[in-house]
Amino acid sequence: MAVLVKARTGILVLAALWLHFGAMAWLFPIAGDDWRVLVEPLSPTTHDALLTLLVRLPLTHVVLTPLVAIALVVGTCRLALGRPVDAVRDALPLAIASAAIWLSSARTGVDLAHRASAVADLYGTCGAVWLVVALQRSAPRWFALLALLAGLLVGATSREVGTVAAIGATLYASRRRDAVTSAAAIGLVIGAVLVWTAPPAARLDLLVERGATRYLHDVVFALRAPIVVACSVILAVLVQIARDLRPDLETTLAISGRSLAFAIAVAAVVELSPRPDAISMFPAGVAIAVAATAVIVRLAADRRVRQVAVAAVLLSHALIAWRSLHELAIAHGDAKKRLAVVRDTRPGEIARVPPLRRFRATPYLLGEDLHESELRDRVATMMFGVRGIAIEPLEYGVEPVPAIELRADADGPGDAIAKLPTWFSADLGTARDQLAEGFPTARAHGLRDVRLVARGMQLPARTGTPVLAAWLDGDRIERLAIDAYDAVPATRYEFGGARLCVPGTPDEVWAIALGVGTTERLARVDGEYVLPLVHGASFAIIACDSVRCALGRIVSFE
Amino acid sequence: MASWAVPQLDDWYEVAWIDRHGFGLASVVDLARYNFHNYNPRIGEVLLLVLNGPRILHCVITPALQLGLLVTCFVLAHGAWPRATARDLARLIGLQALIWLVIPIPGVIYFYRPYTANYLFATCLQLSLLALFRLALTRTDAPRRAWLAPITLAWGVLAGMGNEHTGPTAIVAAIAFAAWAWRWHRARAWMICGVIGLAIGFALLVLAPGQSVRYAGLTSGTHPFRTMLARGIDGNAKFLGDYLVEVAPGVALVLITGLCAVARRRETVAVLSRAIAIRIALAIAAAVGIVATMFASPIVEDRLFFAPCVVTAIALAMGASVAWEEPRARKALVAGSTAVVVINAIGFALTYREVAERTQDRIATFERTGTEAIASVAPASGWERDHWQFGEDLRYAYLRELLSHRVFDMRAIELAGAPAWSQPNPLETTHVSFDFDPPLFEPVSVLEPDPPTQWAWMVRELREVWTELSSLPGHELRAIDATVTPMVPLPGNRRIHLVTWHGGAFERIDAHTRSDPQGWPYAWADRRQVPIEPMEAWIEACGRAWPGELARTDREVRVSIRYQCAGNHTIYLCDASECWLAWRYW
Repeated sequence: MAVLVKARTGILVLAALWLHFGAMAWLFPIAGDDWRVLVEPLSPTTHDALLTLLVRLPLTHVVLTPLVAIALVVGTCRLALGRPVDAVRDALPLAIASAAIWLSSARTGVDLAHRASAVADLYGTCGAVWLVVALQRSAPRWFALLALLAGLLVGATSREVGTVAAIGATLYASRRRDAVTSAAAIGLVIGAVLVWTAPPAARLDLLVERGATRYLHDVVFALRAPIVVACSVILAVLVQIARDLRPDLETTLAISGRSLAFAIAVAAVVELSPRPDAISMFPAGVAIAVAATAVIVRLAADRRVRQVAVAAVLLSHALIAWRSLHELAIAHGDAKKRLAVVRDTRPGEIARVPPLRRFRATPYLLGEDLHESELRDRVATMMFGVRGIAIEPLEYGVEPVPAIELRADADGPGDAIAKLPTWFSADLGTARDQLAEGFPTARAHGLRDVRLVARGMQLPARTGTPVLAAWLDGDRIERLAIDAYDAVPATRYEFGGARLCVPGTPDEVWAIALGVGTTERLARVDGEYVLPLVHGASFAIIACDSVRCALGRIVSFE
Repeated sequence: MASWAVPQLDDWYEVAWIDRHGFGLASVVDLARYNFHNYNPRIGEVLLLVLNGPRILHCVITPALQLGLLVTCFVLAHGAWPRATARDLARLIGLQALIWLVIPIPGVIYFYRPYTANYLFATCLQLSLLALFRLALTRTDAPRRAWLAPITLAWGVLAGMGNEHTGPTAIVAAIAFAAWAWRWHRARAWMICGVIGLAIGFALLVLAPGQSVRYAGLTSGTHPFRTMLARGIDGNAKFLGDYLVEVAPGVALVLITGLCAVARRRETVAVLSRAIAIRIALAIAAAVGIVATMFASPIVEDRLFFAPCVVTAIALAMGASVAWEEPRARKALVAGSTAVVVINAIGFALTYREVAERTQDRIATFERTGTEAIASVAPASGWERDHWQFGEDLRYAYLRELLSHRVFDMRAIELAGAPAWSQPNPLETTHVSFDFDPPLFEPVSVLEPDPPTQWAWMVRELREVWTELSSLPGHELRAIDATVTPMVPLPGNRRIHLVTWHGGAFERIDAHTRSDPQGWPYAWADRRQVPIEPMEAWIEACGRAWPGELARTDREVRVSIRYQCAGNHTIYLCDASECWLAWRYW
């Protein structure tokens, strides 16, 4: 019996991992960018298609994502060992690979179980790992087409994975010169180019804005979790040499060097993003996990190291499993409670939901994902038919529901006006979409004109001119969308307020303090308007030209 | 670089001291005594005064220390003095590059005098003592050198007074060196004296009366073990993570060149002998030991990682021996190190020339400003502390207050445009009254006009003039009451205290901030240290005062932090008869 258990240990490890990953996937609520595919138009990318599948069919996520996670562990182990994994006998290498993946990323739990993060990080990294595994083998020429397709898919998963994999594959193909590798490299390059040209645009000028040293510091800081794992492994090697037990690490040199280069390159690309903190270093962590597994497995030839490794992987997995499931169970319960409140709210009203018990991000949780009114109130209207969602009591860093009320001011017969919505979302973009949705039917019934007016909002310089959140232009409902930076949830008001990018050339831009009614004309500085910081206040930003005054943004400060 | 140095932040306190007491041996000793009893007792603080004296001293001492640290690290890494050879020059460049790669904020540590004196100098003192041990242990026939014993004793005392977080590890390292020497019959009297000196110096440092009142009394009442427990596993592990992040660029340089060397010639790995591996492991253990000591420190900032990072640079210099053995890898290592040194040297020169120009312009503005006028200066473009420089030191309201009232003679200093990252000037006015027995009808002149509006500086200034206050002939000081008058009066017309002194002890409210479970910040103070049992809290800001949300637990008093405008918000805690200023936020 003991022999049977020993022989099956590898299978048991994989089964335990699958159970853990499955429970996490089941418990992880729909959160953050998951909502976007439910309330915003889908872009024709594999990312959005896959994410929609995982969000709309919850069982798919519970079944598929854990399998991909297992595939990643096996792929990592495969690269580290340099040979196929024996699922029966390679229990320790599999457990080491799993522990290394967990410890090499600052938020592995989120990357493995949150739908949007899994699609962006887990699926893409897993694809890249197995593409590398596939390219290490010789394959018939007709495989080139498959390699091209696989390269395209992997290259298009994320900017960092696509770019670094494309560069690596191109270098490899120039050395190996065979059809399959070249096809994969071409696919990766095309995929990476597609990602670089897709919105949001990468901002290379950030490098100049931050300065070289701050950029490099940010790159290093972003890699803190992989660094901890890498340094621990180096220390283990040193201790072995100090014990006069020189490990045979020659076979790991190449994989260690490549993994290190891949990790640094991934971080260097990620830090070119306008919001690098929102992107995970998961692929860099997996690269270091490959090197760490390779070295530790060889060190584990020594009995002492093996005992320490077994104890460390058991302890780390036990702690991770307990903490992840405990936190996710709380998040699951909170999400259920919130959904019940929202569903019980009458249409057109504000749903008042309780705050999350775990509102800060952890390695296993996103924390409060609905801190921006733009997404939260859009979800409220589009998914649940309520005007907005108010979190009460409000958590720190969460935008309140904008204190505005919109009404349709229409010109046409009564039955045409009756076809328009009777209430509008607290989110300006969603309110415009509501009006645009009802407009064709109303138009068919003879509606002549319509505009969305912000009730009670007046500018002193333009008495009698209504402030419009949307209006009819030909047969289209239009609105003004103003971008804002450094408002909530920013905590560092480096610019002394919010910076506003107002499209077009308005004659003047105004801010009205909501709930107070005071108005202030904003100054234009270096092509942007600056709204001075007033703690705890919300402002309606209005741009006026000779034709109209348009409400383009609500800005809230903490 | 040293000749460009201009006063920044903490330098101004030394400038004010020299203005008041002059510069000479007596005033240096006076400051050392004052610091020992009332402020920061580290030996680096005394050196800081010297560096802010005649410029020639700074121009001679600071570069000597900077190069001294490099040579000390070389000795510890290689067990020998550097020789005048191209090979050792390359090694020195490599070591300097590693130091600048791994230490936090190198520009600030090397060229901002308060940090240079407190950290670079202190680390140099401790490591140089250990370097003596290292040199002695490399020779089997090291001479006895009895004359060295009193020198190492004094050296040890000074080194022990360097830094609180490095002392324990330095003592353990010195004991380990001495024990090893004993084991191999190479122990010398001076080694024992060095260890004893270190222990005495460290004891003087941590037991100095000043420790309980510096950092605004932050260390008083909190046991280091409790500080460590309060941070928890995650909080303390974060410091280890921060340390690893700091040293990562140096590790990467050595690792990548080492891997290249081994990839090109497999046998080079044999250079990493058991002895070198043990030395590297011990150096890393020492660095981790220093970081672990920081678990108990009330304040942990990037500058505290300087010493462990320098020790790690020594370990890395030993590890670089692998790359050193293969010509291509060696060339890559030397080229990379030279690039790091050149880029940093040019960057430091450009940065500090600009800082010097900016500060000289400001000083000229301050000198032109009249007594009752407010000086407005443009904020620095890079206001945050970074790799190169300290950033905008005038972002602190207390420093602007010190400059305008104690160094220059003007009403106030403002940063033009009132940037949001800078604390606005407090609008309260402060008044200090002294109660003598028998009463003194003449006003006491020892405390200068415009008393500080922040309690920590009020206490500091009172301590500075304590001798004068307590030795007025025929009068005994019974009590001091520093009160504030807010811009908007609080209801009840109660007296508002900032600091009081009676019965031999100062009283004030030492509040701090943290966040509640929903992330909202609140100010809190230890109930045992709050002089009253507060019944209400008031917040004054934006031209009005309103009741604050006051909560009490068994141990703490808490007031919610909520903003109403962009200016200073001041929290007052009151009972029926009096109020106390508890906290300011903006």
